[in-house]
Amino acid sequence: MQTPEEAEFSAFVEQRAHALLKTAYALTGDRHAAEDLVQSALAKAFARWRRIDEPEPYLRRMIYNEFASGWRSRRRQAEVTVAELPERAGPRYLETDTALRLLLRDALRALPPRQRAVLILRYFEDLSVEETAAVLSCREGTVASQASRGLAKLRELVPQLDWSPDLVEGRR
Amino acid sequence: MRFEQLLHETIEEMSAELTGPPSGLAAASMARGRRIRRTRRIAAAAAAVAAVVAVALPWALLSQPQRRAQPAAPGLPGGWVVTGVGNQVLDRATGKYVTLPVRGTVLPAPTGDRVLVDDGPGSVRLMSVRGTDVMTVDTTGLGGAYNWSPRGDRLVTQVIQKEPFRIGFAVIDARTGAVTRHWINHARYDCSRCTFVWFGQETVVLPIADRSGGEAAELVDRLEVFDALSGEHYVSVPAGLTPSGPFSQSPGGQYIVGDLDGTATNWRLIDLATGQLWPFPYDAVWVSSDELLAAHDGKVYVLTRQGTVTATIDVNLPGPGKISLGPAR
Repeated sequence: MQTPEEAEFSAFVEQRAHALLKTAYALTGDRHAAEDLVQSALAKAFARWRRIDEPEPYLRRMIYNEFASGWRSRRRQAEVTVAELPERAGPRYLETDTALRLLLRDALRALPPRQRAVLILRYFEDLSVEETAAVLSCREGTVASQASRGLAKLRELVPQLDWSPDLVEGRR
Repeated sequence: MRFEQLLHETIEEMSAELTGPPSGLAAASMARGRRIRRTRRIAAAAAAVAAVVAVALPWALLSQPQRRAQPAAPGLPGGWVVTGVGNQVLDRATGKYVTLPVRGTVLPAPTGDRVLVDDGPGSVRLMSVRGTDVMTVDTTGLGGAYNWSPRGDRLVTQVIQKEPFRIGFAVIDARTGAVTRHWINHARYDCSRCTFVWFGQETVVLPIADRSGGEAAELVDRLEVFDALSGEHYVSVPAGLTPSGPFSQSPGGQYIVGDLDGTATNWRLIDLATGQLWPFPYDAVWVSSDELLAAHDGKVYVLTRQGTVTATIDVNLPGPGKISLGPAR
């Protein structure tokens, strides 16, 4: 027999865990790492469940923060160091969107966690610089510099992509 | 195709590969959450009990080996010891390892008997290796990468204030948990990751960004040293790498081992006399002017200054976790 708190938490997990897992998977690129990240965040959230007003934003912040601050706490995520993309595909193959998506996926994994988190928050979640800084508990300048570095690395790794001038010049 | 569109499609495609959360996620999370709660209660109770017991019982009784004590610490060159592996920490009073009943990252002090337990943002505690004398740290604005002083009496970490924006370092007293914040001139000391580590007995160091290699590079131009007590800038060190702590510098101060580019894979040794950098196989601590130790993959390696491994020592402590090393008391 579950307590009301446990029942509420279980219902939340049932409804929202998949969405949280998607976020974690986008960050880690690895299902097991994503599950670990989500479970860790859920456990910490459950430990203080009564004091959390809005669980989903709270958990998202925890997931992004825990992932992005891996370097800070020295619990470093395994990073894929890619000086050059492996198996760089030929021009014809690269014409397909599928190939571009695969290239981008590999390129994202080559970024340090914080840059990856910033790019996903900014260009997938469509958060502003200010909102991204709030999620990651850092200053706006850090978001801008991390986004700039991340985009520069992605441009280097996926030059075939149409890089809009706004992105290249940091106006977006 | 434009970047934003491709990013959306790529992440949607990745999401579509997920069949759903693992079964039992809620139950497993609640079980872990209960352990976190229990650990907090135990730590708080341990602190209260310890305060009473410390008065009622002689010290000799307190220092008895605990039930879950592990074998004695293996001796390392220069009298160094493994101070901990994961949540198993060395009780120097007995020479045995004890398992702290905590979750999260456990960072034992290099000397002394204090341990930092980091359960994530907002939950950082200091305690003895016996789980007593627990102090909660006010983590407001703290960066989270805690670095012990060589004497094990203080820690340093980054501190950030949002409005108005300020950055600096916080020194935490290992006995009381008291936090002293020192702000630096960020315009003058342009750091990228802004990670402070202890450097010497009374100073902390900040790697300054070298942006000449492009924005994507996490290179270091030099190290700026600050007085840990006053927060005043002390001196610049022309070393283009990030040291991990106070033992990254050789006893005479001529050499420093550190991370070249923030990847924790490209370790270098710099000779400050010449400015020359050499690749080094691991992050390492200096035990003498010619000998270093590195903890890697559950083993401790003894290295020469040239990076040659001369001995491998098994730690013989079960379980995963970061190996921490410390000098003789």
